[in-house]
Amino acid sequence: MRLPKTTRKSCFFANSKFPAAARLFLGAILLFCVARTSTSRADSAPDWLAAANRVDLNHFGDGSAAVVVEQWTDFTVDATGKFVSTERKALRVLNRRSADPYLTAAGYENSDSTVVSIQTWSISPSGRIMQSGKKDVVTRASFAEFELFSDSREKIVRVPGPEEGSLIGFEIVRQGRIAIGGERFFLEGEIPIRHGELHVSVPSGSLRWFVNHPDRVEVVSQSANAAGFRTANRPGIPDETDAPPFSSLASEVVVNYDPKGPSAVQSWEEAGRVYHPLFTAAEKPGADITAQVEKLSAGKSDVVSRVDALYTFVSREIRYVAVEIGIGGYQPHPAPDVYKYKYGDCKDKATLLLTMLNDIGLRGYPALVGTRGDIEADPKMPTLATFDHMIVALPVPATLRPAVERFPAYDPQSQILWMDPTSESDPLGQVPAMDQGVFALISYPDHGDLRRIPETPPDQNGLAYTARVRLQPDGSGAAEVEVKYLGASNAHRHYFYRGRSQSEMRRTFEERVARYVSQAAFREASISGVEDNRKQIVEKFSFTGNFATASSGDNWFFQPLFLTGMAVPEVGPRPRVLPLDVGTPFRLKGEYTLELPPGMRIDRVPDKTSIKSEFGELEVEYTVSGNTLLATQTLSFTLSRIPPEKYPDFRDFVNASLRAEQRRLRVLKIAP
Amino acid sequence: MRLQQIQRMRWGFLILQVTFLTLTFQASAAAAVDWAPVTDADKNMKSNPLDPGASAVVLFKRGEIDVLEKSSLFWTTRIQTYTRIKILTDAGREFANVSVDAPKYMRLSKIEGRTILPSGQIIPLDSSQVFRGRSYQAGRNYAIMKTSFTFPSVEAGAIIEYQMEEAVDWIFPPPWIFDTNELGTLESSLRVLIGPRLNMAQFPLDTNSNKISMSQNHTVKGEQFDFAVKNVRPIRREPYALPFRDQAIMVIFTPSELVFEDQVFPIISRWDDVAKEVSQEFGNMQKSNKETKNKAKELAEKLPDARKKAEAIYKYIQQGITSSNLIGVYLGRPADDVLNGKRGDPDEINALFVTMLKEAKVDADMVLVATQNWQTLVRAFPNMSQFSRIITRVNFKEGAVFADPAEPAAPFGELPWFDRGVMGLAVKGTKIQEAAIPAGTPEDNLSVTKVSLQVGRDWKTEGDVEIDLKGAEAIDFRGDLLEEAPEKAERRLTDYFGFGHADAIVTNVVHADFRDSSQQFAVKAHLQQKLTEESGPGELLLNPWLDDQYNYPRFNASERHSAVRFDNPERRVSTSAWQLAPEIKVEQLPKEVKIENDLGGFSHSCLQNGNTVTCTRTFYLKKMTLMSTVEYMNARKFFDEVAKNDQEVMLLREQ
Repeated sequence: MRLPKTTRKSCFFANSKFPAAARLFLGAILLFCVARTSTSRADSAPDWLAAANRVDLNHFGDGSAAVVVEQWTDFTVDATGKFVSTERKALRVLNRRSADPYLTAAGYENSDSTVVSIQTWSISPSGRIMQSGKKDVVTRASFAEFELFSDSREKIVRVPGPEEGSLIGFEIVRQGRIAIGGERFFLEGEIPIRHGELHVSVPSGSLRWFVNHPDRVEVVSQSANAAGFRTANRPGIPDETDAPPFSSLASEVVVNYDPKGPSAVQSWEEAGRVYHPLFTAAEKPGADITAQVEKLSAGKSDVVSRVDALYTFVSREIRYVAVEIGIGGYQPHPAPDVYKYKYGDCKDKATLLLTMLNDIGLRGYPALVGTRGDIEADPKMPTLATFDHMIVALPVPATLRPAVERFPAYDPQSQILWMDPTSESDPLGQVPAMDQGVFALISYPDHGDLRRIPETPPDQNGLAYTARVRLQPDGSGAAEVEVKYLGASNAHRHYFYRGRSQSEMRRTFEERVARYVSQAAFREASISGVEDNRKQIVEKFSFTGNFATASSGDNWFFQPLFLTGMAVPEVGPRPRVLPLDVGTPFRLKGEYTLELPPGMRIDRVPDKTSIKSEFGELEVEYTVSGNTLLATQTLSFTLSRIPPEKYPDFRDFVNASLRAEQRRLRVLKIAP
Repeated sequence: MRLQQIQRMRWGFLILQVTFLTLTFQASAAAAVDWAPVTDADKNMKSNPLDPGASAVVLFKRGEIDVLEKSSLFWTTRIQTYTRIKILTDAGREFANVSVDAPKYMRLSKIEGRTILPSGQIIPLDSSQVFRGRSYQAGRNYAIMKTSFTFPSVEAGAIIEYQMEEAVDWIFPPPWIFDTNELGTLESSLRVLIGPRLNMAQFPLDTNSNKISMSQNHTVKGEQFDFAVKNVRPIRREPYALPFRDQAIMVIFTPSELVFEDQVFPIISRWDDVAKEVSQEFGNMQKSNKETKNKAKELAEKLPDARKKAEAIYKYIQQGITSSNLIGVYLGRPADDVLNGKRGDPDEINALFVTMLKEAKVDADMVLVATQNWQTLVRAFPNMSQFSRIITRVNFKEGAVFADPAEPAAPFGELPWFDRGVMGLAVKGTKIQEAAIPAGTPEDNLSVTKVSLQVGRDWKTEGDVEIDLKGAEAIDFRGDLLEEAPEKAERRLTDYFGFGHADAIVTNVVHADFRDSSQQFAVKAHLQQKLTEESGPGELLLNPWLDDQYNYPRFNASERHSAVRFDNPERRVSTSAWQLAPEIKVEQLPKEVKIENDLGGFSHSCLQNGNTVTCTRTFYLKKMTLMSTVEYMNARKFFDEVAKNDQEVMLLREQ
């Protein structure tokens, strides 16, 4: 259910019958708080909306919250680079409550672009027309959670008077400039679209466009400086959990333009070259930076150690703080400023690291990334409009290669070592999961190169459990556990533990052990390796609890592999329409030594379980020696994204693995 | 803060666009500030004494609130904040990021800060790095400004400190909170100075572990009040905790009297003054209510009795007008606007309901409520800032019924959990009347699940499942489903009936229209699945407690900071009947369990009759609030027991 929002409204003395004297001096304030004027009724709707109101949907979109009956977008760029975008949408409400998220007209703006007008209408099933007014417009900042400040905002109008069956109309006109000369347009959405059109023109310049799903988008017109696109009867993009980002699923048209010449970007090579000047302007050496590089490099004989020192400095000492204003959304701040203030965003941190690397004779380049699960660049769609992150691509000189080959973030094919100094918890040689498996555009001075960032193999990512349990005749027991982390799991753990107080740590472990056994009582824990990202986190903790999960007379059942919890999405019974993103490949190893109480034995030791599939492998093996049960488990997931047609097989693999992992064994009393 | 308009700012749209550009806040060079000396203890602190291992600690937070008459009848409230934070670890550097939202009419007149490095070097906050822009604007005249900055060169061991000053031309100071979000605070103080001709009621709200010390002095400028508190621990996120405002240490204010020309003018000194304010707002709402009245007549005039009329109007509003869900009380829009716009805040929607009921000659009152998830009403301190919602009391001859049509899933006469179990204040014209809203009983929030399944020799099961929900869970579940598109709601139900089994096949899901909250929340489905927990060849473990079982206890922590407040009392009953194939024998049934205590109760049992095993699980919770550690530890033990017993299984064997 929707809990009440914590945003509070109050204007508790507005319009009050204060004494006349009090009102006198508070009069000005009272003026702040008068009632909003009403949304007006209109005599007629615009022709385009009236025409849409006559369209018979004929069950198209049944079961959806709403259907877009018609949508048109017209995008024109003049010779000065100023664009004007006019967006119209007519939408039929099929289910009032669930349609609410779609009944808000929103126009994005920032320092470089503005919403010139925003207008909405609703036509009720009885024909009553309501029209929004200027006073219905709300502007709100659209900061991302990670940003300290941004000039991004949106103007919104919540459509007045919507009912089930109403036809809703939006018209939003925006104008401004786009620094990177490119824009993306989606021709599919979360709800079905009966008919959509996009027209783009750059009368005085050139235009290049790309369509990701040509089978779903019709090109209705094209010339050197204009193009038209149409889509019809498109279902909504399903809302499935752990799917790739919306931008990778919906039909999309990317347009790149040059407002007054023939140079619209038409390849990744060009895109990388076009971006480079923005970076160059910020990559400025400085005496302070040079001195810091010398200090960090002192005493380090090999180059990789120096690179490590520089990377670690930028990663740990320069705080991630994002302030995105105007061109600052694309252009880094000058490296000396970032060094001076000791904070910056991803671009700033990457640029500072590149500047420092330059000081030790290594030439790296900025790499633009569309992060995993967020925006993910499509190789078929060259544009600068598809990135939300910057990292460092370091072409590794031949002499250094042997030293970096062990790094999962080194790509032997391209001989690039990827570094993401935005991460405060990944060591050199490893990039965060959000960078893995996606494409990055390396921006060289004269060209760009789109490359896929490698994923860490499962044997370098995951965790290993070692558990020793001493069981009592009633099923209670005491456990000592050691957990070691690798790769992205290790980085997550570093991040998790940093800054936790002792009481928070205790609470964390108390919650954790309660998931392993009933009536758990946490005893103690120690964690090593937290402060240095290069070190492996090793947790050692102990607890007591009742390991018997069910009883049967004098016998009881318990689950030997009690440290369960596969880090994979829940697999449901329904088939999927969209791919399933299961995260970067990983491996889990467990070794459990369970000491049975005297006079008791395992009723039946299961045979070895071995499951191999294209998705990964599972092995579970039990052996008994004296009164000790040894259980070993190895589970690996080798694919990070499962296509929908393979989902049933994947689900079977996960279910079989879960069953093997959660297997309970019976402990019997040995007859005297 | 309410979305208001500032009429005197009648600027053209173009000008507004220009001013909308993000501004860099320029601190006045002339407004030099005094910094408190940094002590050796501050410099040498390595660990947070309140929370060892924490990444940072607030060394002090000092506030000053002056409400003074600058010139005759021109009052200004000036709020100064001075905060000093010790950064103890790298992770603590996140507290160097500061963002403050304030209404635009609140003038930010000063902001200065500095970083003191462990070496003693002082690095001032660069004023060009203080960013200010609108984070919210409604219409042309109301805006909330966001001011953001981050301290330079922050490292572990550094001290950061900043001072801010805000001013507004009125006499209503906001509540002062002594806590600091997510951090412990060693010293927190507030000095309040009130001009001579104003009487400001002040109410300190402290906690069992932190008491506010208070003193009062008469000064030339007015009455000075000093509040101080020490060693404020950070407020933790805990399950079933009290809301932040109930855990925080605060002083709340209300201007009660103003002297002008030797006469005393009351402002808010009694609850009836609050009633007058709300009635005045309600009266303003009626300035445009013709269509509202007509609609009320249309809906109710042909109906025979008051209850039917009330239910019809309730249904119309609930299904037709969408709530913004915004907390707060201020009736600023005419009734017809809310009706025609088909959108409103919860207080507006309830006021609309009262308007329509009155038109239909059904007696009803607005009831001011501090909801469970907002704060506990301080009954001894009349003011408006405590309320988060208005609900409706319908006064039938046979008794009063509380209703809240802003909640789309609540049947008439039932309330969502956060509205329940609190003291409401009904507005009766210019009078306030207590209106205790009952918390309800476990039977009011009843969940019944019934399953009847046949178990084949291949461990395949098939049968029917039915759930019946009443009260809080019905409102929650119905509310969730209402927000989904119809197709997606059906998918969600399918998953729900799968009870988490990935190989379950759920068909024939049957239910009434969720939009009609007067319909009972009952859903049926047909289920097929294979039981998979084989413990050996031909031997199977079967957990019969369905989706009601606890996999983990509700409480895990051995230490508890907040009192416990459960959302609502509840009773859950699940019954599963397993008709076993002739080849399947029951080797062992779960032992019968029955636990009763002052918190609630739990029982489960299985009975075998021929080849049918029927298992029943009952859980109920009747006590809502646990105030002491002993009560918490007992509750923890109780839920531990429940979770343990929920793991018990039937042991079946194929012959």
